[in-house]
Amino acid sequence: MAADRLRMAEDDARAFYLVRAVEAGDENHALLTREDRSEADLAGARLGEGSAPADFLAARAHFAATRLETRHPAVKRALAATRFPGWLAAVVPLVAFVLGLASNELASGKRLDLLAVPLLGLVAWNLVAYAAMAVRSIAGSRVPAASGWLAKPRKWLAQRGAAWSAETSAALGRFGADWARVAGKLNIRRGAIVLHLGAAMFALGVIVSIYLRALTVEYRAGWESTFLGPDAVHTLLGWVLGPASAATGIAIPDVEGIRALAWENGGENAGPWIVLYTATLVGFVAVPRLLLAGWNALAAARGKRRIAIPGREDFYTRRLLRARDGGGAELRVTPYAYTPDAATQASLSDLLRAALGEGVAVRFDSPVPYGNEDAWVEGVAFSDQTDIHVALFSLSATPERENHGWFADALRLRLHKERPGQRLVAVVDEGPFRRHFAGQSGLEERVAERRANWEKLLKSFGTTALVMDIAAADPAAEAQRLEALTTGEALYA
Amino acid sequence: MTESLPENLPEAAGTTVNLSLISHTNAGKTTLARTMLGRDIGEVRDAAHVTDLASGHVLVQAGGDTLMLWDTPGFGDTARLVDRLRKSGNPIGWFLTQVWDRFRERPLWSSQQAVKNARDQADVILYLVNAAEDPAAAAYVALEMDVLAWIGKPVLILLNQMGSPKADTGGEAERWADHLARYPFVRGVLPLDAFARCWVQEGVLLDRVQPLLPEDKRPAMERLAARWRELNRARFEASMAAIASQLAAAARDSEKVGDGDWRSELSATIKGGRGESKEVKTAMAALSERLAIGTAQSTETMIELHGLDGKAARKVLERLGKDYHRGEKTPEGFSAILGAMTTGAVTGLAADVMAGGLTLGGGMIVGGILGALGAGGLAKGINMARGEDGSSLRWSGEFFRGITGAALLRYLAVAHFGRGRGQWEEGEHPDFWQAEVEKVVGENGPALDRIRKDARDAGEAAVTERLRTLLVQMGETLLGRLYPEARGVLGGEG
Repeated sequence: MAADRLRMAEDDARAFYLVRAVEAGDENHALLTREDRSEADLAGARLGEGSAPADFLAARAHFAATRLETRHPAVKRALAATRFPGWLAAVVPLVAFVLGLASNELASGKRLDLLAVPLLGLVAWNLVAYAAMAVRSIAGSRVPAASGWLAKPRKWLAQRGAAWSAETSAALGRFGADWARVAGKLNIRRGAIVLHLGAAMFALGVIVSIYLRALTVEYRAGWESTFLGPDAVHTLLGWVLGPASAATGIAIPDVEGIRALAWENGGENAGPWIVLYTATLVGFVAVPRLLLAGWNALAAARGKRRIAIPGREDFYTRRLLRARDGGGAELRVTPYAYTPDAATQASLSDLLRAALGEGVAVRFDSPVPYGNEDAWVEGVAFSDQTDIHVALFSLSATPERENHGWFADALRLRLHKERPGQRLVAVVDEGPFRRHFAGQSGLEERVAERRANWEKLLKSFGTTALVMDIAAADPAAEAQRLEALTTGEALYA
Repeated sequence: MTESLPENLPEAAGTTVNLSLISHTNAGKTTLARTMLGRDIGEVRDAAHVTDLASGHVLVQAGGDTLMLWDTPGFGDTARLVDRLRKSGNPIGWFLTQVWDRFRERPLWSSQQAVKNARDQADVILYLVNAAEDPAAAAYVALEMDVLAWIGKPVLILLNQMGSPKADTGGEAERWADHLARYPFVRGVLPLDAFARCWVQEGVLLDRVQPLLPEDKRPAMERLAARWRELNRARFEASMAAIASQLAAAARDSEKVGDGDWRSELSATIKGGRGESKEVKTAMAALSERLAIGTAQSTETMIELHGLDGKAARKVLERLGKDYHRGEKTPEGFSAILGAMTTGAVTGLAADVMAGGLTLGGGMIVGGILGALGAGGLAKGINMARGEDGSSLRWSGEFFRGITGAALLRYLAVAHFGRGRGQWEEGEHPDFWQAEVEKVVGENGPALDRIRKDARDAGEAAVTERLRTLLVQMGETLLGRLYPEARGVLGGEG
């Protein structure tokens, strides 16, 4: 399936998902009129024949999104709300740097406290952060689609929805959910860039501030502690500053030397210690954080050009592409333990065309014999071209869980797994039953009882059943029922 | 226990013949069993696997011999059942190990119950098919034929759910016979709709069963079939006798009116609607009331003879009223009287029954009869006879034929009434019945006229007897024409 995936630049994809959410739910064409939709098709088609599907879809989506934006302020705001605030990448590091500078009020007066929390704490905090990142990358990070901060745009959109029309808020709600799902990873990366830069700049701020003050002030380095003795302090400093000591060649004093550094003994000139701390912060914090930010920036730059959008496996995409290429939807009808005669087949095809457009192609499988469902479902091959799979039954049969029900269930599960964009619809033909018992009083009750049994059984297997007298159906009324089942909300079911 | 035996089964000194009703689930076995037994057994619903235990019921007894009818659970999940049967080298062992294992899988378990019953009990299997389905589409039939082959008993195919009775069911039977011709153990196809069958068809079934039995059971079956025929024949004759006694009373009935220009009074009554002659009106009302009571009584007798309860009786009557309602549209003649009599009288009767049994309240029935006459038949319906002591009103010859036909239609409705219907009722009074009844009445019209003419002077018993003889013969003709294959059943002792 992955090979079928289409990819788009972020802005194109955003427009695509917005328009998809609107078109799928807006059955009354309240937001996007039929005219809008066909003009959008034309806008896409202007790219010329043989243009890449993603380009066509993007051009079409931009056209439609522009119409929506100019007409509905809510849409404009919603689109804006889903854009990552790029200024954060400048403001957050800047603020962090300033904070770092300010934090040099770390020591009292001229004292560089060797155990000062800002210095040791900075190192410790970054170690914790690295450990957490390592754990997450080993455990595998999952994008929380509907929870946490990612869900916020969606919630916000839904809440704001109160002030909008039902169509708008429903469409924007769906768009928010879709977008949180597909752009979640990208936005997590962007968030990571901001945070890494912030951490690096904070560390640099601290260093710069120390050097700036050291130019005009003689820092004295020393330590004091309620609990720690010179031994413990020597060990601690050995852990934290050891690598820097090795890198710079500046030795860390032995235990006696440390003891001599206690404030009660007056401390010493802080120059070497400042170098050691600078090397540590640069090596432990600034450089790795900048590298991580850079790596995330590369990944984000790549990701934002390659947002996944549903390809031909998706009903919506398939329909648009097929409309562009001059074909209609394709339906596959599989009768189970029922052989519809030619008239019934023709009638069902007409109904489906009335529901889904004249270009619809209806293909009938040869009937699956009763009891043969296991073998059939196991061996069936699905086509990418199919949009809707219709399981056709006859009301003359008593619905049986272990046969009719199992068939619908197994077919639905296989489709769900292998062709998630294809929908399964069950149609139960009551025509043969009606004609057989025509003229009998109580026929209507009998049909109603059977119908209820069928609907109940198929519903218990997660498939919606449409019971109708196919040969005698009123195209207008049935087409609406069929359309409701085969398009629209079901896309988001 | 997987089967329940009736409690009062005599210790078998004689022979027991077992017929097992078998079919795919929800083909209507329990409904058919109820109809054939004339009592409400089991549960009836339009769903799969309603019956889950095989149960045996006495259909008829003759001396020590018993004919049992077994109602079994339907086959379900047949493909898997057949698969298991094929795979199991030792079917008995398979039962022992699988019955309990499979307790959770109800369709399979039900199927096993049916197979077990048929294999252990049945002499002949009555395999019921749902004629509403196309034989080609009902693929489970082929699978179940495999099961029946494994059971190894002779099979008769019964066509159920055939819809309204049809003038000719040969085509449907032939379609199924052709479809099942390749199975040597299938020994015949009979239409036997649980809702629209007639007792004579059951007689045909019993006749067809006999040669399929093991040699040693055939004499017993002959006795049982004879006993069955005797019982049903008696019921048929009792029904005809009930009608005869009603018709005899109507033929002899008259109501005096004062002298005068009765014909102009009568025509004024017809034309004016309300009528100007109170005397004529009163006389007609009295005649109608007695006719209504007679109709109600004879219907009640037939309903009782056929073992139908109040609810079933009400349905018979309601449906009769409804189904022939359109007869009223024919403005003149026999059809008008037949239709209107059936509709009017019976609708009233149904209302009475609905009010709490057959109260013979009469009011609505009289209304119905008068309505029928008003609808176009009054002038033809009433005769004035001038006697030595003045004039009197009587039912006309044409009207008498009409009520005879209506009575025969009522008989057909009662005799065809199936039991155990679910939530719905099925109309089963097709137009061709009326045509056949009209034909039979037409053929026997002169005889009916003679009896009616002689009725005033002959004794009631003599009139009733003459009518009874004639009606038995008409009824036989009628049933023989509706069910040509059942002529043997009818003629056996007639």
